[in-house]
Amino acid sequence: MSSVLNWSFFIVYSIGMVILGYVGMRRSKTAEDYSVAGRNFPNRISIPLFAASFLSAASIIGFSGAAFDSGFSFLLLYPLGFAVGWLALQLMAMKFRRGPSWNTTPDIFAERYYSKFMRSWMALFYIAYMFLYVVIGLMGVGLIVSVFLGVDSRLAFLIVGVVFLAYTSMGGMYAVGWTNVVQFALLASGIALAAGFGLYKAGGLGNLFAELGAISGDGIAQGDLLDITRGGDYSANFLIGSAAALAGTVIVTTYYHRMFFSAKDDRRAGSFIGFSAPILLTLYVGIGVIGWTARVLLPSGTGQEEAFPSLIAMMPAVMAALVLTAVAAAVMSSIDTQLLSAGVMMSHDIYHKRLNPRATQRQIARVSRWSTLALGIAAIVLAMAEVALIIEIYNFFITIAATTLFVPLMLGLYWKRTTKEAGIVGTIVGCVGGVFWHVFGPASIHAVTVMVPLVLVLMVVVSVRTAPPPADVVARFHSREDIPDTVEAH
Amino acid sequence: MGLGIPEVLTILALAGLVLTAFASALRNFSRPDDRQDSRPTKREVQR
Repeated sequence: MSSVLNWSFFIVYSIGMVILGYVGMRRSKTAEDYSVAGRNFPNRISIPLFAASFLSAASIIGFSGAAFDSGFSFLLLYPLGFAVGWLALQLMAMKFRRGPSWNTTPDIFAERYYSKFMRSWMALFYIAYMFLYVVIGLMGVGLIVSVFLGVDSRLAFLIVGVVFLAYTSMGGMYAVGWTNVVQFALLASGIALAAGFGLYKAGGLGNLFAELGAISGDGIAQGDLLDITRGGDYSANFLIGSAAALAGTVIVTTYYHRMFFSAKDDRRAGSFIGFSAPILLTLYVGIGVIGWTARVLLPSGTGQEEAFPSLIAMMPAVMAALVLTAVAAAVMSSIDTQLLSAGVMMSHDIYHKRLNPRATQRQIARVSRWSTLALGIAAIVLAMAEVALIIEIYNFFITIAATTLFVPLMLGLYWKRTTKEAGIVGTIVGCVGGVFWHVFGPASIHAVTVMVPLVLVLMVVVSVRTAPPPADVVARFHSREDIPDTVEAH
Repeated sequence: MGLGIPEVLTILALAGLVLTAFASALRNFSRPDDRQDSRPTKREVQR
């Protein structure tokens, strides 16, 4: 592998990103510019922004590994759940446009549940959640970049960390939006190249499926890799549970909500998710093809997470450099959005709404920038300290996010009678119960299949037994017309 | 290629979900601008 070539690709890419960050900084005058890009994004930014944020380290390295391991059932394990999530988010778009000054998801929880406690609790939950995503993402990209640049993985965490932290903390949402357009172009070409290369080596699609069906050994019988249950390894219950968990996680993801707030108008906010869906599905099929061809091409005994890196090692130097830059781009395009979310919630929900309500725009913007920087540095330090299997941590967090946030968000947006008390009980029971089930519960029954119905029943019971929500809250969230100016008074 | 009914159904479900999302986006995007943005302008918010 040509290290000079790889370094050149990476340096050109990094300089480009940092320049966009600097331009974003010049453009960001107010706190609202920094958090939601002045509510000004057209679809030509929102679509690649959503698609590139969606594809992360877990998507590319983890999911090609999952396709490598599970064969055809990969489609049922991941893309199907995501597709449900895209459709749900698309249909919910206008619900996220009802607050004229919403910057973050805790804004929605605070106003809908007319509770300061809900603001702080949801902000802290989301900050921790986003922060851990950033650490996991950094670890993922570090593994790839260390091979790519021929450096130690810790040094790779540091190099990647400094680049994405520089443009994210400088330019806020403008920088994240603009860099993601470039990153999207890179990652889409990278996936297309890698899938094309794999298919070429495997002798075409027909041959790929024939060979995939013939593989046996390591607990796999012939034909299992073409079977949607992997020869009975995945029960229907488990598959439905994990699809539901993924869909639930997509719906509650705070940085997609901020893309609704950042869109220029209702037409754009109401369309960028649906327009991204076919693009994303195509890319996921490409990721599947990468994993499936790796299974056919690589020797048996290759580890799941080695699948994609090993395939890259087989490529010609220029192609390998481009694909690796694409992977770095994919990872950065997710962790920049996640880090910005955490930084913005720190300044908007914790600093401005709870600690210093009289803060000026300039102060809030400054706190945003500094908290983004501080959280980013902490994430780099944590990533350098420990390495774990990416997909396992990812699975744990998507589960807890779905059990904690999904029912309270959906009930709050769609059922008038949902009360503050129900929101508090629902989020706490969902979080504690989700962790408990994930750690101690039987693996054959997904935590989401147990916790979602439980939290739903609990929240309905608590709601009907407590005083109904105030009229202005109901009007803001559930009327068709006459959105009240503000419900901040609670 | 040896794909059975459950595999074909999975592919159809994926295509159906994605196309429905796309159709919904198309409808929202091509809606004429007779209805104003559901959010007040910045000036209205400050008031």
